[in-house]
Amino acid sequence: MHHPQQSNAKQKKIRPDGRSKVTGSLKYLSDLSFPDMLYGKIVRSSYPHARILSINTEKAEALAGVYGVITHEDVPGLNGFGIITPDQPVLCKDKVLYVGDAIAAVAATSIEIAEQAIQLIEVDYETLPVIDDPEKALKEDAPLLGKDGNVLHRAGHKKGDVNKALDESYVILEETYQVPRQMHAYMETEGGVVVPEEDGGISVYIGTQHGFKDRFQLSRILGIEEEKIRIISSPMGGSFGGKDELNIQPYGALLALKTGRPVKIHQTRKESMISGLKRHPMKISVKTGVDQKGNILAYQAKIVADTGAYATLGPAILDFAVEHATGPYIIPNVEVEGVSVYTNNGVSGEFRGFGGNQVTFALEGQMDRIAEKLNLDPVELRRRNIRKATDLGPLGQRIAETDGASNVLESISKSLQIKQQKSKRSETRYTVRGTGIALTMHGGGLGYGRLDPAGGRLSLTEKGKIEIAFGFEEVGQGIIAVIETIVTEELGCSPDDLSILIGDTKYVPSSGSTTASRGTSMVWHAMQRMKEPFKRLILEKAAAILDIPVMQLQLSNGGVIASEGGGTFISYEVIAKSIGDKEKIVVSTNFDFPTTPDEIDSGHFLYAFSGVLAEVEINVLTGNVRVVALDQAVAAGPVVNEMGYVGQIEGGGVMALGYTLMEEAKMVDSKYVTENFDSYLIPGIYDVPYKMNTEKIEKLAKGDPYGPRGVGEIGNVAVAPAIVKAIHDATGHWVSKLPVSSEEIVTAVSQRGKKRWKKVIH
Amino acid sequence: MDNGNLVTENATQTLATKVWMPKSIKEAYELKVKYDSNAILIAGGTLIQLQREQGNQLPAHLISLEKIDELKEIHYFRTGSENKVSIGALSSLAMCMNHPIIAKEYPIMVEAIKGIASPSIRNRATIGGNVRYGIGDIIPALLSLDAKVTWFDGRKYNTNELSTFLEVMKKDKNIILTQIDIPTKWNGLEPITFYKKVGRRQAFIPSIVTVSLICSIDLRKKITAVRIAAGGGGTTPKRLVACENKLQDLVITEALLEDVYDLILEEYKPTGDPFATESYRKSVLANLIVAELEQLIS
Repeated sequence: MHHPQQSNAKQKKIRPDGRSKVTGSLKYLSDLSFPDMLYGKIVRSSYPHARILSINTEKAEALAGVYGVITHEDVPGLNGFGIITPDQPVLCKDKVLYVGDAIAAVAATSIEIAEQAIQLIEVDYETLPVIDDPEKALKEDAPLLGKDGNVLHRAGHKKGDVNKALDESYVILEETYQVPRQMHAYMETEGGVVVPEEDGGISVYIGTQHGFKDRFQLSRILGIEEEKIRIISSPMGGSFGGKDELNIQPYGALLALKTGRPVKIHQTRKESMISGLKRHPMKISVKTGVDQKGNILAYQAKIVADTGAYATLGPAILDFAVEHATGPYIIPNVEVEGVSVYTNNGVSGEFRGFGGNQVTFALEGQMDRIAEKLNLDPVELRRRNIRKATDLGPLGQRIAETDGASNVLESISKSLQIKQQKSKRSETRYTVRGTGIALTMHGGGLGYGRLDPAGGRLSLTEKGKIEIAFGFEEVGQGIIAVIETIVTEELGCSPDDLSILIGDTKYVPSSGSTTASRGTSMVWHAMQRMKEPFKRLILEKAAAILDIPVMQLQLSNGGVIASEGGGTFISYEVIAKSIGDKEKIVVSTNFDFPTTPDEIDSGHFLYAFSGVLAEVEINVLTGNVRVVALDQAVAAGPVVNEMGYVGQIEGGGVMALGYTLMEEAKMVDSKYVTENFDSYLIPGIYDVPYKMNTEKIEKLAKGDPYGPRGVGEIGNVAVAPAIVKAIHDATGHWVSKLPVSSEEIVTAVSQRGKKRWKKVIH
Repeated sequence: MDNGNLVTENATQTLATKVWMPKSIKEAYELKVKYDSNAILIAGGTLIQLQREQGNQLPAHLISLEKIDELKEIHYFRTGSENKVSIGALSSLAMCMNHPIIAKEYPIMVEAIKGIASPSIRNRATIGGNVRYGIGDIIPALLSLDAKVTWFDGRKYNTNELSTFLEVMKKDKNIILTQIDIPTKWNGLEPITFYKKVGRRQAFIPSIVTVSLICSIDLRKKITAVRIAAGGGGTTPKRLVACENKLQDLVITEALLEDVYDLILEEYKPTGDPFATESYRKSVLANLIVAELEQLIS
C-alpha cells in the first residue's frame, strides 16, 4: 500500500535497544549484582487448598549462610497485594488457596543455601477439598474460596430482546467454546534485586509494567512512604501482562529491609510457572440467531472464566470480554452474561488481549459456522453484519469514528482469494490444506470509569540534550524506538539530540501503566500537547541570543536554525549554557487516555482492528496441523515505526498460534502437569510460517485528532478462529476447544473416510 | 591422576554430589558397583540435566565416562560376509550423524538423530546414552537395522541383540554399554527405509510415536524382507514381529494392508500420558506404516 505522507525511511529504522538485545550484551535487571548481595528463595504451598496449622523456620534460621527468614509475622504493613483489590497475601498466615501461594522466604549467601533453607522450613497443613473447575465452584455446596463466595465478578450487556429474536430466527446456531490457560512465556522470568537505602527506604531493580503502581503497592505492604521507594523497572525480557501485577518484589523488599543487605530473587522457570499469572481459561456458550439472508438477529453468550485463587485484574478482564463479545458486528439483540469464578487453580490475570482472544474465538467461530449453515461465503456474511464508520461501540457507547472493520475485512478477503487459488494445489497424498479468516476489534486504554492517566515531560538539560521522560516501561515492545521516532518527528531534532528517560520512578513523571496497547498512543498525545510550548521556549531563547525573530527560527539537528536557511545556527548546547538555573526549559503534561463521553462503565473509545488469514496443512495420518501462512491486515492509524509495528503483529500472531495449537498450562487437581518448557510447549521456528505478511491500513476518519492507535495486542486476538476455520476448510471438522487436539483431527478425518483402510479406534 | 579421583564437588543440591572420572571401563564399573544405587553413570549428561531440572535430585555419585576415549571411536569393518559399523557408546549424536560411512550406509540413522532434541544437545548427547535411556528415539532405528550391542558386566564383554540388552539393563543397572554394531546386510538389497517421529510440535520435542521401517520388495511387489520397530513417549521401543511375519513373502495388496492395519493396533502397546492417549498413538502408528506400504504399490 502506498502512503505518501506516512511511509518514509525513518519508519524502518533499527530500534535503539535492538543491537544489545540481539547480541545478548544488554544487562537485564535480573543480571545485576551488588556488593554483599544475598539470594532469596520463596516457599510456595505444597497444596492447592489447605489450612496452615504451623510454620516452623528454626532449622532454616540456624543454617549457616542464612541471613533472614520471613513469614507473615514479618509483614509490617498490609499483608496483601493486588492492583485493584489487595486480596492475595504476601505471605499466607492460615490458609493457602493455590500452589503458588507464598508462605515464607529466605535470604542467604548463595542460591544453593537459600534452596536448602527453604527445604528446612516445616509447614504443617490440613488439606481441604480442591475446587479445580469454575462449575464446581458455582455449586451451592462448594467450599467458599473468596471472602464473599466463589464469584469474583459478574458482568453483562443487554440490548433488544434476544429470546424473541431467537424465536424469529431462520437458523439458530449453538456451540460451546473452551479455551486454555496460556502462559506468557517471557524469556526473562520474574527477578531482580532490592537494595536497602540509608534513609530506611529501598531501591527496587525489578521489571514491571507500572513502576509507580509497584511503588504504591510496596509502600502499603512495607508501611513506608512511597517517596522512600524507588523503582527501576526497565528494561525487561518480556512481560505480555504477566509482570503487571506484583510478583517477587514484596519478598525481595521485606528480606532486604530485614537483613540490611541487597537481596536478589530470580525465579526459575518452574517457580515462574507455578506462581505466575496465566491467561483466563474460559468456557463460552453461545446461541446465535440469523435470518435467511445472513443478518444476525440475536447473540446470546454466557462466559464462565476461571480466575483462580485471587482477583488481580480478573474483573476488568471479564468486563473487557463482555464488551468485545460481539466484536465489530452490529447485532440488534444481544445478551452477554459473564461470571469470573474463584478456583484453586493458578491465578489468572493480565495477558495480551485481555479477555478479547477468548470471546473472539467464540464469536468468529459462530460466524463461520453460520456461513456454512446458510451456504454463504464467510466474507459475505461478515460484510452483511459489519459495523459502519459512525456506528456506536459494542456497549452502545460513542466511539472515535472508524471504518477499520470494513477496511480490514476487504483487505484480508483479497488476500484470501489469492491464497485459496493456490492452497488446494499444494496438497499431497497424505496432507490436506485449508484457509480461513477472522476479524477482531480491540479497544485501547483501560475504558470508561477507570483511572487511566498519562503524561510526559520534555526538558533541555544542562548539557544541551533534549530530555524526554515518560513513566512507560520497555517490556520488549519497542517503546524506545517509538519515543525516538515521535519526538524527533514532532520537534524536528535528530536522535542524537535526544536523551530518553524511562523506567525509574526517581526521575520520570507518572504516565500510567504500560498496558492496554496505550504506550504509543500516549507518547503521541503527550507530544501533541508539549511540542509547541517546548519549541517556543527554546526558540525564544535562541531568538534572544541570535537577535532574530522567533518566527524565522526552527528546531533542527543539533540546534536551532533559520527557517530560510543561510547558515544561521545555534546549538542546543549553547542555548542550554545561556540559561540560568531559575529559567530552566521544562514542559510537562498530564492528561487522561481518551474515553467515550457516555457513562458506560469500561466502554472503550479508540479501537484497532485486525483481519487474520490463516492457511494450514494437515497431515491426515497424524492429525498434525501446521500453519503455513499467517497474514494480517491491521487498521490502527499511522505507523510510527514500521519494524516495531510488524514485530508486534507477527509476534502476537505467533503467540496466538501457540495458543491455538499447543500451549496449555495443564492442571490436574489444581496442580500443574506442565512445569517447564519440556511439556509446556511454545512454537519453535519450524512451527511458524516461513513468511508472514502485515498489511498496514493507516488511514483514519477525516479530521481524526487521535493519532496512532497501539498495536501491542491486536495481532494476538483473532488468530485462533482463523486457524480453526482453515482446519474446517481442510477437513470439514469444526474445532471448538483449544489447543487443537491432533487426536480429534485424526479421528475426524478418518471418520470422513479419507482412507478406507483407516478405521476408527475405540 | 589415579583412577577414580574425585575431581568436582557439586553443592548445588542439598546432597553434595561427587563426580568421578575413571579412565577405563573396568574402573568405571568398579566405582559403579562400589556406590551402587547411590551412583549413576553419566555420559553426555543431557538427560540427567533435564531430569534434574524436573526436580530429580542428583545421586551422591556421578560416574562420568567422558575420559574413556576408546568409547568414542567409530570403525567400519569389512570382513567379506560380515560388514558392519561399530560405534563406541560415547560417540556424540552429532558425531554419528556427520560420520561419512554412517551417512552413506544408514540414512535412517541420520534421520533419526536429526529428530532428537536440538543441535547443541546433539553435540553433548551420546548414542549410548540415548540407548540407555531405554526409550530414546535412536532405539527404533537400531532395532530395525538389526543392531547388536556390547556391554561389560564386570567379568566379561557380552554381545547380543539390542532388544536383549534393553531387558538386561533393567535388571542390572551397573552394566556398561560399550559398543553398538550395525550390520550392513541390507546392502545390495537397496532397501526401502522409512523413519518418522511424531511429536506435539515440529522440532525439539519428545516423541509421541516413533517408527522405523526397513524393507525390500521384488518386482512383483512381494516383500522379501522387513523390519518394523516402534516406540514413542514412555513406550519401550520394540519390533513389531507379528506384523513383520505377516508381511514376509507376501505381495502387498489393499486387503493385506487392511489386515496389517488391524495387526498393528493389536501388537503395538503404547503408554498414554496427559498429552496423548494410547488410542491416538496406536492409530498414528498404524496410519504411518500402512501409508508407507501403500505407497509401494501405487
